[in-house]
Amino acid sequence: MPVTKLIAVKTFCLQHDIPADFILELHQHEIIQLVVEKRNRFIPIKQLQELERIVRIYRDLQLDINGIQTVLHLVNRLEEKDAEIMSLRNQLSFYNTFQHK
Amino acid sequence: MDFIDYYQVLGVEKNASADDIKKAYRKLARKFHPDINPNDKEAHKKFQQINEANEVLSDPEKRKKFDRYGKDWQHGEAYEKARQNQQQQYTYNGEEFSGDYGDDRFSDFFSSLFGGGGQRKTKFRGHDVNATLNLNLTDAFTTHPQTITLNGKNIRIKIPAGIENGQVIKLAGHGAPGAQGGPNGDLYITFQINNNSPFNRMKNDLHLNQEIDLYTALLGGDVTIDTMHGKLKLKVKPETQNNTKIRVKGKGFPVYKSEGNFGDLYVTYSVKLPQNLTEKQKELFTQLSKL
Repeated sequence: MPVTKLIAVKTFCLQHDIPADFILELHQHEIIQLVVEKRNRFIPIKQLQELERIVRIYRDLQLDINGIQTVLHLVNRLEEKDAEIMSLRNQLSFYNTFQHK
Repeated sequence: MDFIDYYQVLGVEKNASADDIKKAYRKLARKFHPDINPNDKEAHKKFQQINEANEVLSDPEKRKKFDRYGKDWQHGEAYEKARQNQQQQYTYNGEEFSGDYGDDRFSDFFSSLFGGGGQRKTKFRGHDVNATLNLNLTDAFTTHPQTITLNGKNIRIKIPAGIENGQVIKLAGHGAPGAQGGPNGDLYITFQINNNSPFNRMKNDLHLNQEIDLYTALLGGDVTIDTMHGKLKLKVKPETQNNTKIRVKGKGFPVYKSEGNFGDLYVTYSVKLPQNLTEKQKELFTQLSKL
């Protein structure tokens, strides 16, 4: 059975000095998933990187949940486009090499 | 060490109010924040400058010092005295950013003027480090361990088979160390794949040009080729045309992080015409042409 590594919401909030309500709000807006075990809330460790990014955006840019959602959506699209550019560059290089062989 | 005009960085006048500075800062921070400009080194650098400018101009004490000594920082004992004094007394209580720009987030100019970042209340995550790893295409064919040395430290990584040219992998916590007890940054490795093989790679498929002689092309036969999976015997159909392309299923490149799955191999036959014909051959070809 696969093991899911978890971090307590309380620990995360203490470490990052943010209110637990913020994490719950992110969960309510389905931006992150939380795991509830024995009445305690946990964050799956695989979401940690994304959550830290959200916390930085929230704190540094003072955006609300809607703003964060918009930014995340656009950043994800940007990252997808970057990956697409990389793939197209490789294809172009493929055709160039093939032409010269 | 260049003089940095913090007013210019934020695009405000010298007599700008605290509110103007805050507004200008917020506007620029939203534009250049590292989290909304992934992989953009220029934006990261710009953000660092904006952050530094705000730290100075939003603090009345520091702003006063910058206004007084900033431009003439290279001259005079007064500046030096002020700097030393600042080092002893400086305590920072303003707003702080928590982005990925570790302990080198202040320019040399800032450090000279204010004696480093001063005391901070916030933990800082170390900045991310980017590195490039060159790999041969034949090496990218198999999953293999590799040790890379970064800043004198050996890091052992496992490179999954099928990695693409330009692909970036992240090694969490292997970036620059955090400051004030903050976590380490991450290490981003970009793979640059050098083609050391006769194959051309298109995602998971491999392409190969294979010469065959005229007689095999006309009459059919076998041709043995070297693939990345080993030697492979192919049947050439009679009357195979020049540039005929055939597909050999599953003999291409491994699919990234999908063990046991491979792309296909495409072989393009290039028919090589005979040269330096003997008299007999010429005679026979002439006969053929008249049939």
